Amino acid sequence: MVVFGGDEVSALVLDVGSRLTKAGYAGEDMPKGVFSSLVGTIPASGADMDVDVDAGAGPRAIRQGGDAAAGGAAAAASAPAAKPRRFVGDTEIFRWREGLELRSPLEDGVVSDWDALEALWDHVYARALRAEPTEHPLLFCEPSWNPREKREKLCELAFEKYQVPAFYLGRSAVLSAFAAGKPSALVVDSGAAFTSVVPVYDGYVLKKAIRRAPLGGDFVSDQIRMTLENLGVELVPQFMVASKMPVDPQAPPSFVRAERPNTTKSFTEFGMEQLLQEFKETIVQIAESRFDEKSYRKRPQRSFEFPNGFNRPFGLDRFKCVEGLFNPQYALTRPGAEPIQTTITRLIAECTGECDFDLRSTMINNIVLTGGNSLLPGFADRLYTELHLALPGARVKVHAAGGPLERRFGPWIGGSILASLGSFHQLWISKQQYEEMGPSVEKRIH
Amino acid sequence: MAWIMGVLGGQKRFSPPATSFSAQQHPMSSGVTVNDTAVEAYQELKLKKKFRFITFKMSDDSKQIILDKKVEKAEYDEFVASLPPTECRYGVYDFVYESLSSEGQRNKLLFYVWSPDSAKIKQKMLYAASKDALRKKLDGIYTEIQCTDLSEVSHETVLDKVTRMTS
Repeated sequence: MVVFGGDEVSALVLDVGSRLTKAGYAGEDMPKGVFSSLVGTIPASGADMDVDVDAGAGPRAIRQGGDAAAGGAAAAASAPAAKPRRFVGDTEIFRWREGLELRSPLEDGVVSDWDALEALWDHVYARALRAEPTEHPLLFCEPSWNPREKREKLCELAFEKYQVPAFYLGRSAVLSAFAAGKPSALVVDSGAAFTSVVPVYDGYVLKKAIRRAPLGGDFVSDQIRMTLENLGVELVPQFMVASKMPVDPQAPPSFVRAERPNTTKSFTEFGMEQLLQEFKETIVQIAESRFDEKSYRKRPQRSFEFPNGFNRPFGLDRFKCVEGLFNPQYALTRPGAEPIQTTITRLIAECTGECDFDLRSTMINNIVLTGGNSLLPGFADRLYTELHLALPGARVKVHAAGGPLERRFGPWIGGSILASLGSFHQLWISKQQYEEMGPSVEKRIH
Repeated sequence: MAWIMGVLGGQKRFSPPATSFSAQQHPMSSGVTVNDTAVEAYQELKLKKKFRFITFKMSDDSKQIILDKKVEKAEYDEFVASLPPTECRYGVYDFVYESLSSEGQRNKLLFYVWSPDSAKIKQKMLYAASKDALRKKLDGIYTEIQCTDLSEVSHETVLDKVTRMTS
C-alpha cells in the first residue's frame, strides 16, 4: 500500500454505487479501494463484545500508519454497551454472522441512509485508504438527479464532520462523457439498481430529459432467479452449504446444509445475489440480434455448478433469461408485482425526444455506454442493433469504453483525472467558501 | 504543493468574492486557460481570412491551450490529415461550400473537437473538460463537430451537417 507521507498531498475520489463503493487517490488509474456498498449491523445484545471494526472511526480515531482495528477496538470498549455492532468492507460482510442485517445507503441512487453512508466513508479513511480526511481534498461522484438538499448535506458532512480542506461534487454522467472524450454525449449507465439515460451538453446535464428505469443488474439477477426457479432448481447460497459431494449432471445434489440460525432476510438475499452474480458472469449472454428461440437454440450450451453441487447445462435459457432487458415480452414478473413496460431503447428514444431538436443527432451519434451491467456479453452490440432498428436512417454510434475496468469504474476514473489536474485547483469548493456560504455553496457547481 | 496550500489557506486568488460565484453555476471543467497567441491566430483567420485552418493543442504541462498549426492554403483533406491518429486536438476550419439555394459559394467557421478512440483516457478527459474555455474565446463559430474517427470528420459528414443546418 502506498503511504502518502510528508508534504505530498493529493485529492481523493469517492464513488458510492448501488453495489460497489470505489475509493482512491486522484491521478491513479484505478480505485485502490473497491468494496461492497452494503453496511452490516447486529443489534446490541449487551454481553458480547466483539471488535467493533468501525465504531468511532472518525478523523480523531485514526492512528497514522497505525493499526486502525486496534483503534476501533479501543473506541468500542469505551462506548456505551447499547451501540449496535457495525460491519463494513468485504472481509466483514461476506462472513455469515447470526443476526447480521445488511443495508444500502442509497435509494434510487441518492443517499437515503446517512448513517450507512458515514460508515462507508469512515471505512474509506480508516481502513481502505488509511488517509487523514483533513489532508485531502475530496471529489464525490453523484448521480445527475441528486437533489439540492442531498448535495447540501454532502457538503455539510464533508466539511463539518470530516473537515476536508476542499470538496467537489462531480456528476457521474459528465465524468463518464468527458472520460470518453466527449463534451456532449448521451450517457447510458447500466448499473446495479437501474439503467439511466442522461444527456450531457457541453458539460451540463439536461436534467429535464433524464430517463431511468430499474433495468439494471438487480433486475437481471431477479430474472435469472425466476428462470431457475421455474426450471425447478433449488437455489442454496454458498454460506448455507457445509460440504458437498460431486454428482452427475442433472442428478439431485448431495450436500450437507450448514447450521445458520437467525440468518436475516437481507443476508440471505446477499448470499443469493453472489450465486446469481456468478451465474451471470459465466453463463448469461445477451442475444446480439433480435432474439428468436429457433436460432438461439442452436448456440452452444454452458454448464454451471451451483454451490450445493447440483449442475446442469444451460442452452436457450442463457439468452432468454436476460431478454427482458430489451424486450418486455420476455420479462418474468413475480405474482402481484408490477411488470416493467419499458426498455433501454425506449428510455433512449424518450430522452432524446425531450432534447432540443438540434441536439438529437448529436446525442444519438455520441452514446457513451458505461456501468457494470453493460459488461454482460452482447450488451453493446444489442443496444446498437435495437437503436438501429428503432431509428432507421439515423447515424447511431455506441461508444463502449475499452476495458471492463474502464466501464465498471468510468465515473471514478474521470474524477481521478480531473481532481489530479493542477489547473482544477480553482474549481474546488474551499473550506473558506463553505464557511462563508454554508451548505448552499453547492449551488456553485452545476 | 503550493496550490493546495492556496485552497487550504484561503489566499486571495483562490477565493473569488461571494457575489461573483453565487449567481452562476459552473459546469464541470478543467480550469485550463487559453494562450493569447491561439486566440490571435483565430482572429486573423476570421477577420483577415489569413488561414484556411488552425489547430490547437494542450501545452505539455496541461495548463494552457496553445496554437498547434496555422495553415494558409489547404484542401479539406489536408486538414483531416493534420489530425494525429492517437492524440486529441481542437481545430477551426473555414469551410466553403456551394449553397443549395443557388446563391453560390458560402463559408462557415467550424470548430472541431478531435478525440480519437485510441487516444489516452487522460487526454480525452482533459480535452473534453477544457473545450468550453477555448470555445468561449472564439466568436463567430457556426457549429461544432465532435469527432472520434475519420468518418465523423469526413467532408461528406460535415457538409451534410452544415447544409442540414442552413436549410
